[in-house]
Amino acid sequence: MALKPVTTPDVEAPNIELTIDGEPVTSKAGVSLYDVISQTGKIIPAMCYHYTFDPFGSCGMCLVMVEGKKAPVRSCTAKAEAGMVVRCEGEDLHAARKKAVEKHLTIHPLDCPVCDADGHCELQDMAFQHGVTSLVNAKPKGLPEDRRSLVLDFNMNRCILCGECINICKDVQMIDALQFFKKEGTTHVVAKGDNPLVCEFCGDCLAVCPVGAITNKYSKYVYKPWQLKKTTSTCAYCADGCQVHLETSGKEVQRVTSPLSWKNKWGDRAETAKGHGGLCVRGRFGFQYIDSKERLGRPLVRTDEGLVPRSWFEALGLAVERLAVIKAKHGPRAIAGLITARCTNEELYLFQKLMRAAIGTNHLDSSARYGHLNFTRAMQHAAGVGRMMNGYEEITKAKALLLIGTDVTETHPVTSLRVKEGLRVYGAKVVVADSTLTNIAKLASHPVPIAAGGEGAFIRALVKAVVEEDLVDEAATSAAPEAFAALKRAVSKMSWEVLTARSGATRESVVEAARIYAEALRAVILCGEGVTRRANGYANILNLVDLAWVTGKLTKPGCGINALPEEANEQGAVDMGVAPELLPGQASYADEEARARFARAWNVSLPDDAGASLMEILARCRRGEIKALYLVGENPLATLPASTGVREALEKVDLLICQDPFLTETGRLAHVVLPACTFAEKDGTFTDLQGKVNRVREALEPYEEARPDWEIIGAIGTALRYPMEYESPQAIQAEIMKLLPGYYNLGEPRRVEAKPEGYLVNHYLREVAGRYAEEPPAGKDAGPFSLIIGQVLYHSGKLSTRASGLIKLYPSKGRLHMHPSDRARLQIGDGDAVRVTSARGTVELRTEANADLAPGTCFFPEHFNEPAVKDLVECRVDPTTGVPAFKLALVAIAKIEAERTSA
Amino acid sequence: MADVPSVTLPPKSRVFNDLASMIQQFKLFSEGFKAPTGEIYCGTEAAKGELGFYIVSTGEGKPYRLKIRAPSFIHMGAFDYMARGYMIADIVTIFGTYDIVMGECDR
Repeated sequence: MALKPVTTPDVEAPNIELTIDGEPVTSKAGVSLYDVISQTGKIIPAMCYHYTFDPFGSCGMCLVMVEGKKAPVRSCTAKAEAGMVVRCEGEDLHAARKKAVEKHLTIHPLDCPVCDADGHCELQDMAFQHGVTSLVNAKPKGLPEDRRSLVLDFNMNRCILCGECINICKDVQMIDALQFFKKEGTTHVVAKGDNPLVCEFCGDCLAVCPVGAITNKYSKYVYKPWQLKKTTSTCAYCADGCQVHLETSGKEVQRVTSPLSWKNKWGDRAETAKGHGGLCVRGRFGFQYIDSKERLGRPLVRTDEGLVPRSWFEALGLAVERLAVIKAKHGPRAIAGLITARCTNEELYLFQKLMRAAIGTNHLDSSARYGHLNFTRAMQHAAGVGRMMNGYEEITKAKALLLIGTDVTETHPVTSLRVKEGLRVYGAKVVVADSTLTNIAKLASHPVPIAAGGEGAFIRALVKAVVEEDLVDEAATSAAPEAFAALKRAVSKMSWEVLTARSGATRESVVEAARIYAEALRAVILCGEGVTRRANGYANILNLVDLAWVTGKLTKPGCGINALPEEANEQGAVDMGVAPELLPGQASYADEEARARFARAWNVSLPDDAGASLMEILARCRRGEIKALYLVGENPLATLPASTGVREALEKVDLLICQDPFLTETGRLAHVVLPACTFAEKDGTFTDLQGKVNRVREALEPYEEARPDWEIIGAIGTALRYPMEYESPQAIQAEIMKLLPGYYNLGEPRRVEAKPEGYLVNHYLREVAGRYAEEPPAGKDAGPFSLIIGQVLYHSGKLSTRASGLIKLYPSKGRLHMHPSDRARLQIGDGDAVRVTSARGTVELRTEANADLAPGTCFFPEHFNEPAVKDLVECRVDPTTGVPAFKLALVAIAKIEAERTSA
Repeated sequence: MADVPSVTLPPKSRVFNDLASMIQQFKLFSEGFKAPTGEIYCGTEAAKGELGFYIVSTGEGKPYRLKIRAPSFIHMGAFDYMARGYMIADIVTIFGTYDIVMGECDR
């Protein structure tokens, strides 16, 4: 790092004074002069500069005159020094900058009319701004285009060698996939080693390219930037809450761009700590599902000939009529509903209102049940905070980061940039505990390999290490001495032998991790599906609360416990009360007073039973107690393993209403299928993982006859004679605002204070011993291999598998990932099939080598069911929260000998 | 033509052969030239009266506000006094006496 960026200078560096255009300016010593000048509000042209990485100094545009120097100097690579007298404007500087532009233009090809960047090109802007009117000796390079990459084309004729793409890839993404390469007498930007590009395809290089040297294959030649309508919305894939610009023409999304671009390069790096502004591969290249030909255009109704298209009037009428009949005959408790957390807050609110107020049942759930509720319930119980405690800025600026069971670069690529910036700029110590050697583990200062499924044991071992190594915070523990004594007793009963065997981590590495965590000024825990989606996910989070509490980090600013929710609006689903145990605003459903408040507001009497959550709903469907199931965007058949009896449940119900943009596996079983809109066709809000509410805006007209979910839910409610007529999502928002004042604090997430006192005194003593007890042995599906079913970078749920751009990058290969040493031991080649056996069945498939996996583990992406590997897994349900855990199994793998050809 | 490349168009013959001229032509046509921030009214004595243009610029390629003060629209105001008490059939003649251009009145 040559020069410190101005917003993160050395704290110890002395203050210096210099004069810029006659004005005195104060700054830290050792920072870039360009940064100092741009902080005064002056903008000097610079084509190779971007605030996200350190000054590079290749374009030669940022010239200024420094007194005492004869020639202009490049301000970006010049160091600000005390007493400097700087001049930024003047005829001579204008002429010098004009010369620099001319230098770039003389080797630039004459292809503006066919260039994708035409009209969105910094070189054009600079040429025009500096009044370049004629070029002598123009000599374009005449190189062929590099079309080897899957999503990006590199046209080196247009490249001005600013190096922004290389720098952002190296510094911000820390992937380092691009390099300068000399060939054919000129310098090219190529993927490392002049190979086809293999990287995470975040597309940030495309976003910062000031010219058209890097172009998007998916939208090449099809538009000019000014022909597209640009709508700012929030990405619907993961919960990072990235802002996307959906650029549409007519009924199609042509491309997705990000706030990160060469156009806004004069930002403040401190600002980006709150959000990178870039996107990941899913957000940038996974938009094709929105206008896919597979979309449902008309409602479908089951007849003797199967599902046939019908009018909305008929389909909705049928659904409502049968719902009303079931309600009259069997009571409202014979109806249940599930909704996906990819719906907006307004829709989630309306859905639970429909179920509770219009229908009168408390059997409802959302996809937050697949894991996030473990976290929010535990945090709500222990600390009174039902969401992540830290925002992006606190993650970035933490001194120690503890990443447990989360492959954050795959599941939440933009959150992972905060961790990377912590590593790179703020020198954080990062402990990554995961069985796989994840990309973040490769960068981390302290990677701790653990066993597959060993996350729970690792957390318990951390607590034991903290207590035994006396890393506790006296002030915190002395406030609740009884609780601490109980914790001490509980951890003393665990033996290191069992803990290290279960967790797969050595005692030394656990102690080191505990020491890093306990001794850091600001320590943040990030965990993911490896913690929340396990059978004891709820207890895992409570154990993390113990860890934070005894080290005094639970109530300290800048510290906290965080679990990353998978889908875009899981936090919103919890906040909107789409769970039988919760009311909007995370009030407990069992709380009579809170329930009465909502009953009054909705003008009904609410059902007074505890209601059923996801797995219980399916069980009741199988038993015939629930007769009608209303699914909004949910596809349990493709998500849950067969052992949960999900198919029987769905086949057993008398009425299955499926509302989805696509005809899913579950939809094929439905009696009524209602076509819904995607996020691009509706207004609303998503609540991201930091608890920040982001706007979702309508970019397109609904596809054919599809309607937004809120409209359909409202129409069903109204047809059931409960008034739910809303003009727009804003009307629903107005209602939510009345009931939950302060929820829409658009902008900053609210800072929440943890309040563990009540928990430590009232509940703690009863619960603590159980949480540190020995885990029961793994169960009957014993086998030597751990099968992990998890997410990959290129996909999110099942939705992304409809995006052709992502399928091109990561198709359904139907291959089991195995460590090369396991493959060698079992003599499995690329063409060989294996038989994977668990107590739940057998699947035959081929394998592929993945050296990042730990030996003895194998991996299958959860997004694909070809073949149905998920059905091998036993589903364990958390007794407290009802969260099903179905991402880990023990399996045996045997090679299938090549079949004899003769018969 | 004035040598102000930020406002004037390049010679057409150069646009197809010279990159700088192509960019100049392209920028002027796709974005328009950037008028300085401010407002101006400029009236001229035209054949039918004062024809004036009021432009507010925020420094963009397109005006923030553009108002055309056309004489015939103002003259329309006299129509009430000139036509009251006459027959409908006389309207054409009344208009003819002071020759209003209806295109100017459509605002």
